[in-house]
Amino acid sequence: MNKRILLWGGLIVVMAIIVFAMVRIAGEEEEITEPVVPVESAEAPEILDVRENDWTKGNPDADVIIVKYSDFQCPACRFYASFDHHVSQELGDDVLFVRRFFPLRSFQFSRLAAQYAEAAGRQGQFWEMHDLLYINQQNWSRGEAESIFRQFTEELGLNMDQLQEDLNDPEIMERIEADYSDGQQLGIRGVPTIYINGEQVQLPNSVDAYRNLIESYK
Amino acid sequence: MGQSNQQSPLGWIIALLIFAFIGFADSVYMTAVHFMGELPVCTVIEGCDVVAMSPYSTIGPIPVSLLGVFFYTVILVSGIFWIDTRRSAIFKYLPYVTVPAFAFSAWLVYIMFFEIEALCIYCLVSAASTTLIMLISLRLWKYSAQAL
Repeated sequence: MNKRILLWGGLIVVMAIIVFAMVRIAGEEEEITEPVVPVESAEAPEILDVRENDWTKGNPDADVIIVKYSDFQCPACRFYASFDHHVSQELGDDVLFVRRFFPLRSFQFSRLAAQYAEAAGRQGQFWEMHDLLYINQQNWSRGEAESIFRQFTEELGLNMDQLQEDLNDPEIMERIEADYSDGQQLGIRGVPTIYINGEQVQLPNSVDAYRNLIESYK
Repeated sequence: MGQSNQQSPLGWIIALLIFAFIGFADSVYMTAVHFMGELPVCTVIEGCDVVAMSPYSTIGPIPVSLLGVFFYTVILVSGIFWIDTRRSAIFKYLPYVTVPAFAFSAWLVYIMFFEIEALCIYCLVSAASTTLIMLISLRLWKYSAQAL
């Protein structure tokens, strides 16, 4: 009987220790991989000023301005987009969200997704397209992205002729590349990179932490 | 003593348990990374953890690594069950779990090399553990057949 308890108890204890240790390591590693250097944006502060052609959401007169450089195909960006979604519902009046393009070259469809978002934006549906792209990121990342993007634009009821014309307009790509080079000038090394009132912040690891962070700037 | 001329499979069981513990730790780690929402930030230079973040890393809402956790738990429980009861009948059933697990693992390695074209050390560790566990389970299956 004792041997039995020792065996099964031992198994449970060892498994519990492994789970505890692995969860801890998983948590710690994240802290290391995050960009830890809070870069003061003093070198190029004007880049972080809100511009007329920026895609914004929230209160334009808010005390807190969050500028985010992000990529549509990056899973971490999808993750943090959901944070924005939660927080904007609660703090919408206190915050102005600014979303800029930083499409990584390592992703196949990042630029195409950005083009579609920008083109949808020309018909007043940037954020709707933005949400559809992130919600369905896992679907279109596998391939056939363009036909899936087409479906989204149809769902949004966009004028398809206009859309096609806009997609062919080199200005759209120039606009995306301009954001990208601004990001490079800011020294962005990964996405998403978030600036609150001109200060680069460490990515929060929960919605609560994000809310607290934002409130600390109010 | 019908089994007196037969070597005890304890050594094989211990090896089985060791590989199952390695695989278990590995899968728990990957599952923790998945569920803690702790996605590696995608960097300009390295790209993000392409494999762990690929659509292949989940089946619906279930991360593949969680399947690994269940698989290794079954193996650990089976190994301890044998040490506890010495009932070799358990070995007859092990290949029903280990062979499909090996096939699935091989498919994942294929996907990793040819579809995602990236390497993931955690996935390779798990694939190696699964392969060794499958081989040991076949050895034990043979043992149980002889024992009967």
